[in-house]
Parts: sequence; C-alpha cells; structure tokens
Amino acid sequence: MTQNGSTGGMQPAWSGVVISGSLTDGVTARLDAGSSVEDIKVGTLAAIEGERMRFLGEITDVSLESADRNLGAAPPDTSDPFIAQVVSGTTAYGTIKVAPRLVLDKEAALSDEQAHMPAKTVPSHFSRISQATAQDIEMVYGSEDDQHFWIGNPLDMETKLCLDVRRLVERSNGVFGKSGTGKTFLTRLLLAGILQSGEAVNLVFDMHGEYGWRGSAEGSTREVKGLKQLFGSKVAVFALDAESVKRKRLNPDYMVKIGYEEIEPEDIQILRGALNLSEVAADIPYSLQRKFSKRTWLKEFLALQPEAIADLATEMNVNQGAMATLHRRLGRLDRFSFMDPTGAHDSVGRLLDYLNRGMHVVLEFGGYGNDLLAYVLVANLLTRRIHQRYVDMKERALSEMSPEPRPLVITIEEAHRFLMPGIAEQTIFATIAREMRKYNVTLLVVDQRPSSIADEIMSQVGTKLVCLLDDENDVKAVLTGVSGGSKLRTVLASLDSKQQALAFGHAVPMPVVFRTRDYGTTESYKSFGYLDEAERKVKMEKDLADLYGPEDE
Amino acid sequence: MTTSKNITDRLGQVVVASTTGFTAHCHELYQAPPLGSLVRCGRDDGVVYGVVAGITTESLDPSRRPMARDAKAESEDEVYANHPQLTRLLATRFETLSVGYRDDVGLHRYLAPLPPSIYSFVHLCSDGETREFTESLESLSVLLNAPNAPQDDVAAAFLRLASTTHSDPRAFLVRAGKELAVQLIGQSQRLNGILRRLSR
Amino acid sequence: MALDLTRTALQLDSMAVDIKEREVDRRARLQNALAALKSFDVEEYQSRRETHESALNYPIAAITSPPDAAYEPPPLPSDFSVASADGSHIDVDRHSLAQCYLINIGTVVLTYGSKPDARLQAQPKLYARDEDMVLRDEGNDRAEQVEGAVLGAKRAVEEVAALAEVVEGLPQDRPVVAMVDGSLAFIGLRRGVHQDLVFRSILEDGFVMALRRMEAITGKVAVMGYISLPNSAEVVGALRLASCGLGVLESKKCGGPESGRQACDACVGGVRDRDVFGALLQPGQRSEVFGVSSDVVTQYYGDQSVRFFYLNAGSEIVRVEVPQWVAEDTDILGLVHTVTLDQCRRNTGYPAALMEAHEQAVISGGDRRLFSEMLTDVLEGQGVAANLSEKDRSKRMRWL
Repeated sequence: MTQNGSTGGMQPAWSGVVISGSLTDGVTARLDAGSSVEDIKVGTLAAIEGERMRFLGEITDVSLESADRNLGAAPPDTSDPFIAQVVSGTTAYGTIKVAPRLVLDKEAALSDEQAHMPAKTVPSHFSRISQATAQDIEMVYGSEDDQHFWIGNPLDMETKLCLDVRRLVERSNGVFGKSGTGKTFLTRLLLAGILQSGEAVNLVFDMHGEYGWRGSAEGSTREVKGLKQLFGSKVAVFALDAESVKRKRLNPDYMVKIGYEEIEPEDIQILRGALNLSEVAADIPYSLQRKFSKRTWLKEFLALQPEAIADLATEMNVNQGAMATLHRRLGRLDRFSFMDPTGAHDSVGRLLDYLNRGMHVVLEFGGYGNDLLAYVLVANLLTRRIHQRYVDMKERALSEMSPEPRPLVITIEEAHRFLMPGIAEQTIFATIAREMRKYNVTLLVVDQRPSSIADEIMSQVGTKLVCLLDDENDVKAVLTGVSGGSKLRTVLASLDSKQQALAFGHAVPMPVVFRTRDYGTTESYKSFGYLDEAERKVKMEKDLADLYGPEDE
Repeated sequence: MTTSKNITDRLGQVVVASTTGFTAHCHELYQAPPLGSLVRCGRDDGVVYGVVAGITTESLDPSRRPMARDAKAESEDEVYANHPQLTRLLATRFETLSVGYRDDVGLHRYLAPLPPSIYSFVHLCSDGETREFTESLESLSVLLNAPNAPQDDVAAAFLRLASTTHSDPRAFLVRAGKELAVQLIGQSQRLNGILRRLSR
Repeated sequence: MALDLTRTALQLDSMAVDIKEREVDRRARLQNALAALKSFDVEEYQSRRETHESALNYPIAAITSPPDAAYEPPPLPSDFSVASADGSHIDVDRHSLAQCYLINIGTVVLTYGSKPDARLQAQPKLYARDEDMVLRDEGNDRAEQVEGAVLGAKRAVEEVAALAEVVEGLPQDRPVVAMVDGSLAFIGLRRGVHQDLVFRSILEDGFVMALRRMEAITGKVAVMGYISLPNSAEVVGALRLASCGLGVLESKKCGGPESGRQACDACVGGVRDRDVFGALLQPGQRSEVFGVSSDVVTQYYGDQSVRFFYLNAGSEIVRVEVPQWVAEDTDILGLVHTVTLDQCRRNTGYPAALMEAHEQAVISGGDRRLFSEMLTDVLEGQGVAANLSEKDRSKRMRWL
C-alpha cells in the first residue's frame, strides 16, 4: 500500500513540519501557513512522514508562537484580511506537540500484524506532519470484523475506530469518567461488542438497570434499548428485586435468591465498610462459623436474642460490644427480600448454566441498586462463587483435557467500593484483576472515582477507556503506570464532556481519542443487527425459505 | 531570443555594470520600466536579471541644469515640441539590482558570477519570464537588503508587478508575503509597511 | 599685502564722475547719429564714399537705400529646420615634442513643426601631419604655421564645412536656416599680419567654397553668421562720413573720440551701430541690409560677398551676416529674419541651435587635461620623451 498522507486525495485539514522533539517529550511541529491552530484539537491522531517510516501519534498540546519578539510592540494590521493571511503561519504560527507512539512500515500490507511497531525514535527534522488518514487508522486499530468492534470515530475523522475484542478480554478493563460523561453508554457499547464478537460471555452487575431490558439515555429521561432487546436470545436478565419486577411488569429469566446458608465470613468481611463494622467485629463471623456450623452460623447467630449475645461473647471470649454491633448490623440483611433464611438456592449454579451456554447475564438490582450493602454483598458473593467454579473448571480442563470454560467478563459498577485500598485485598475482584485471565475471568470496572481504587488494581487494568475526568487525583490514578502518561494528561483534560473518550492500554496499539458510536437511535440499533417487528417477519420468512425452499415449488 | 526579435521591447543599454546591479540608459527619454520591473540583459549564453530599483531623468551634462521654460505653453508636450533638443539633452536611466541569471544549466536566483558588459541591451521581461522567475522568491532578500535603494518600495513594487503575471495574483502575494515575513523576522514595522503596500 | 581701499574708493569716485560726463556726451552724439540716419542722402553718401573711402581710418558700410528703414518679421514657416555648427580646438603645444592640434566640431539640427526632432553631434579630429601643421605655397618657399589665429580661422572653415555637410544631408521639403556663431566676414585673419597664401588657402579654398556648397543646394537654404553684442560701427561710420561738418578729408581736424580733440556739435563718433538701431528698431524688427566694407571680402570672397543687418531680438540688438545670395532673395532673407528671432525667443535671447552646437563642441578643462595625458602616454609608449621644456615641467609639477 502507499501512504501519500492525504485522505482520498483531498488536502489534509492541516499540515506542518517537524522542528524539534524527543522521544520522551514528544515531537514539536510547526503548522504550515494555511493551517490554523483553531482547526486542531488535542487528542487528534497525527501522522508524520519520516524518511523511511511513517510515525503515528496523538496531538498532546497546541501552542502559539511568534517568530518576532517585537510583534507585540508593532502588531500587524490583521483587520486587513490579506495581512492576516500572510502573518498567520509565518510571523505568528502555531505549533503542535505530538507523542510518537507507533511506526508504520511503509511497505507492509494492511492486514499485516507486524504493520506497526512501537516508536523507538522520532522522525527526522522537517518531516511532514498531517492528520492521520483512514488507512493509518485501519492499519493500527484494524477494520470492522468479528474480532474488531466499531466503538466510535477518531477525533475529527469519519473513519471507524475499532477495538480488538480478543485482546480486550485478555485482561481486565476499566471505563472511567465523572458522572454524566457517558460511562454507561460506553460500557453498554463494550458489552455489545464483546457479545457480538463471541469472544467472551458477560456477567453484568447492573446496579441501576441500565443494561438488561432497557436503559436511560444520558442526561435525559429518554429510554434506550437494553441488551435483551437488541440481542434477545443471547441475553438473560436476572433480577433481585421482586417488587420492582412486579411494578415494572418485567419478565426476568430468573429471580436470584440467596440463602443465609450461602453467606460465608469472607462475604461479611467485605461489607465492613457498608456495615460500618470495626475490624474486631468483622472478624467475629470466622469464630461464629467455628462455634456453629459452616452453613448455619448466620441463621443461628441472627436468631439469638440480645441477652444471649453477651453470653456468647463471654463464651467465645470476644468483645461484647463488638458482637452486639455485629448482631445488630447483620440484622439488616433480614430486610432484603432476596435473602432466604430457610433454604439454599443455587443461584450461582443457574448463572453458570446460562454462562456455559454462551448466554450473557445481566443481574438487575432493581430497588437494591441504591443500597450499597445489597450490591456489594450480592456482587461479591456471586463473583466469589463463580470464580471458584471457574477455577475448578479450568483446572479440570487442564487435567482432563475437557473444554475450557468460556472466557467471562464481569462488569461491576461503582467499582471502587470493592477495590478501595484496604478492602481490595479481601475481595475476589482484586484477585481476579491480579490473575489476569489465568482462569478465564476478567473484570470490566466502571467507576467515576478511579483515585479511590487501589493503585495496585489500577495498574492491572489492561485497557482503559476514559471519559472526561476533572479531578486531578482521578486523572493521575488513571494514568498511573502508563508509559508517556504525562503527555496524555492534557488530552484527557480537553475531552468533551459528552460522547468522547480516550482509549489506551492493552487492546489499543496507541492512545486514541474518539467520539463514541451512536447508541439509542433507530439507525444505531440497526447497525447492531437489530430488526424491528416487520423486518423480523420478513427475515423469518426468508430464513424458512432458505431452509425449505420456496413455498410455491 | 535573438536581438532583432526583441528590438521592440528593448529598453536601453547598460552603462554602469557591477556584480550587484547595473544601470541602463534608456533609448528614449522617459521610457524606463516602472519601479520593481523585472528586466534582463545579455545574450543567449548569459542572461542577467535585474529588478528596477531607481529611475532618474536628468540633464546629460551635469553642468547644465534644466530650467523652467515656456510659462505660456499649454501642455508639457508643447514644451518638448518647442525645444526638440530637450529629448537629446535629457536622459532617463534606471538602476537595477541583480537578482539572478540564466546560463546553459538553467535559471539561478542569486548573483551572476560576472556582470553584464557595458552597452548590453536591456529588455523588459515578458509575463511568462517574470512568472517563471517568481515561481520562487529567494531573490527577495537581495531587494530587502540592498544598500542605497528604497528596499521596501522596490520589493513591494516587484511583487505587485509580478503578481499580475500569475494566474492567482492574490495567492501569489500571500505566498510572497509569507516569504517576506520570514525574511523580516524582528522587523515587524518594515514587514507591516510592505504588506500594507501589497494589500491595496 | 592688503589693498588700500580708501585710496581705491577715491579713485572710483572720480571715475564715476568721468563716466557720467561721458555718458551725457554719448547721448548727445547718439541723437546726432539718429538725426543723421533720418536725413541720410544715399546718393550724396555714394559720392562721398567713392571719393574718400580709401583715406578714412574707420570702416564704413555700403549703403544703397535709406538706412532708417525697419522691417517686421514675416510669418514663421510651419515646418522648418535650424542647422548650426560650432567648434573648439586644442592648440599646438609648443612645449611638446608632439606637434598636433585637435578640432572638435559640434553640429546640431533642430526641426520644428509637425515632426519635432533634434540631432546633436560632435566630431573631434586630430591634425598632426606635416601638411596640417604648415600652410605652404605651391610656387615658392613661403610657409605659415597653423596655430593661434590661423588655427582659429581654420576652425571657422571646419565649422562652415561641417554645416554644409549637415545641410546637404537634410530633406529639402522644408526651409533650413544654417547658422554659425560669429562673423562670416571677419574670421581673425588680418592683412599685413598673415600672408596671402593663408588667405587663399583658408578663405578661397575653404570658407568660401563651403558657402558656395550651400548656395548650390536646390531647397530653401539660408546661411548666416550670428553676432551677439556687436561692437561694430560701420553704419555709424557711414553716418559720420555723411554728416561730418568739419570735412572728412581733414580728418585731423575731426573731434572724434580717438582724436582727443574737441568734437563738432554734429559729431557721431564713439556711437556704436547697436546703439543707433537699438533706438530705431522695435522688438522683432530688422534694419535695412548693408554691405560689409572689407578688403579681405572684396579680394577673396568673390561672389559670396557678405552683407548684414541688425535685428532687435528682444533682449539685445544682434548683427546678422549673410552672403550676397541670401540678401538678394527677399524670401530667404525673411526666413533668416524670422527664424533668428524665433530662435532667440525660444531660448531666452540666444539662438537655441547655436547654444547646443556650442555645447557639443566645447572642450572642457578636464577634457583638455585628459587629452594631454593621453598624448603623453602615447608618446611615452613609443619611447619618446613628451615634454621638452623645463618651463612646462615646472608648470605641471607645482612645488614649494
């Protein structure tokens, strides 16, 4: 293929020439006279035509320079359009900073896996620079196919930006951004992408009912279709809140119930924050389990009368006050309708059944979405069990040569609740993040406060998709451990507050700012293969015809 | 490019020649090309290009000064008709700054290795020639830095005249202006002055 | 030493008194002259002239019609040319081994009217051959060096010859006035000083021949000499002869200014022709044509004898000399009159063509030095010491 640096023979929107730079600080280019800084956005992908290689990188800064120190004293009469045109780009000119990320082999074919490599040098002086072309984008990020999911468009470009889903699910990933910036939309897209690719199955802990049947459009009351509506047969909706299900007249595939017997001391540990328990109090369940039995400890403990608590404390030689507190706080579990003191429910088993069949499961929390205690309890509990089963399956697969479990992506919202320093060590989520995909389970972490997530966990997040963040600590947290992270800082800060995100990390050869693919319009549903009633009928008839031949014959 | 072919556009002959420029004596009184015109002198084997940087009309004999005549004449032409000798006693000369040359290799936009010879014929460059010469504007620096010349006016006049030979005069002037901006870094007042001359 | 200005001032005072007295006297004589002009009796004058001319010690003009006539200029032709020639020379340097001289002739043709034009030209010529340096007589051993006055005369010949050359080359569809600066009759040669061979060589073979060439041109051509601020008094001489009360034969009794004796009341002595015609002629008018009275002209000019008139050119009275053939053709004489006047008017008092010819011919001091240096270089290049005289060397090297 040839790289002529232009899009379809048209003049590039802007162009310039490299004047200085270093690999660590990035390359500075002077804009050509015809190019205005006003046309250039930080985050745009730029291509630099070096002598032997073509470099790609994102614009990290834009600045105004003047060739003449006296310019301020005798400014040109720019009210004259001619003079303005002359002065722009010469006496006064713009510079851009570009972080070279990749080099493209000019000789390589488009499909060549080795077509791009990390940039280990900078382009030579006076190399031409201009906006990256559609070809560049496809060469780096791939073109839309089963494995490559169209997630949006690079800043200021019409080209489809695709995400390599296979690489994406190899590691845990994160979607970050302050509230209202489109995290949920982006997450929904990612889920759809994973779903369509078939590279993994999803388990979504849907706190606010955004993913299952329907969701809400960002910043409005408009409803958008959930995964179930778009990909009906591939998606199962599990529900937790019977009342909400009844009220909304939903028809969930399964109502999740959790028996007291299924709760283990580890599950209480993680609720320390939510229950405001002291360390001592949080450790008591381990003793209770030994005192009572593995299965019945919670039920028996909660059945105790307050007077009996004091005796038990004395007997077990634990702090009486701590035990009383524990007793009182755990009593809150009683209020949850999905908690069943009487029997055991194999919710985990049902979940795995679905997952093993390649179904994607959305667990809608309904009214419990606003109850952190319920969310943390259920998400952690289920995940722990599922992870345990995956570990088993994986080990069995290794020893018996039986099929591997399907790769599973678990989506958690408000992830910092599970991954805060101090708590993270105890939750299954930290373990999953650390294991990468040793047991075919990875996380999709959705959070608005990345700074609250333990650094250790953040550094394990393979691919990050970041919407606008304005808290300095959050920005820092997101960029921790990212090579050339400081150069991304300005890019991140200059994102639009809507429908724009920066992607970088494992599945993205080089950081890229993109405009998120539309979701919510009829057109957008069609692009996911969604057929409305009439269309579905037509398609069904056609399918039948294909199967049995035309009816007439 | 033979001498006879171009006799009509012949302006005069070189009377002073140096490496940096030449002065031509016009064949006809007042027939100097306008300030900033691109002219050429020499033969096929070596053409030197100059830009008109000054025009003088004065008495041929420095000791004879022209004085006012014919107060009652109704037109200036009448004065010259009444005194036909005047056209012989006055002379128009123009000075040029050498901006390039052409040899068997091609066109060069820098000083010729040798000045033209005295009495070389001087011709006004055709539009095509001017356009070709001003495809590139390195020679601007010569005009901008010429000692004893109204540098900025010459440069502005040169560009304005040359612009008319290009298909898009405005685009040419913008390109030229940008070249000026580079050449005149640190001299924004001069730059502004020239740009104002070019913009009207 | 400083000038004693006190004494000088006193002397100047007495001089001013003298001048004033003489001026009063001169005015009286001018009135006499004008009276004599008015009452001039041509026939009486002719007889007096025939009787006394050879005995007079002053020149008298030939007057054949009443001298107080004044003529208006005829209309200027619409198209005409004025040709002119002037010369200058570098004389022989006695101190140099190289015996040579240089004559530079400037010629001008100014054309007026529908197609105005001007041709200005200068032609220098170096003379160094033996026959250039010495005039010899064929039959005998007499010879005369060409230098000084002789060279001046030779230059005048070259001027007229160049003029003839130019005029011959002009188209004949328009009238031409060919003018030289100075007299046609008196070109610096004097009887008694210069030998006959000089006159014959310079005048007969040169000057007069050139005049004849121009006469021979079929078109309307006039030749003239222009004399600015003429000091001549030939007409006044004639008046004196005609009106002297004391008797012309007894010239010793005449109280003319040269005698130092008391003049008679009617005396016109000391008045110049230009004074008389200045009073007589209105601007633009010319006088009657008179004949030059000169032995040289009579002896050597043949049919080209010279006549003259005075012209009020506006700012001064000038004398215009023409050959006989011009004076006799009223048309051509009128042409001379009107064109001369026009030339003076165009050029604030002095003919434009003459001025330009002079400018072409003139050899500046710088050019003279340059010529001298070139000459020296050439000679030294031939191994010849250029300068012979110590005086010359001392002049060149001024020292303390």
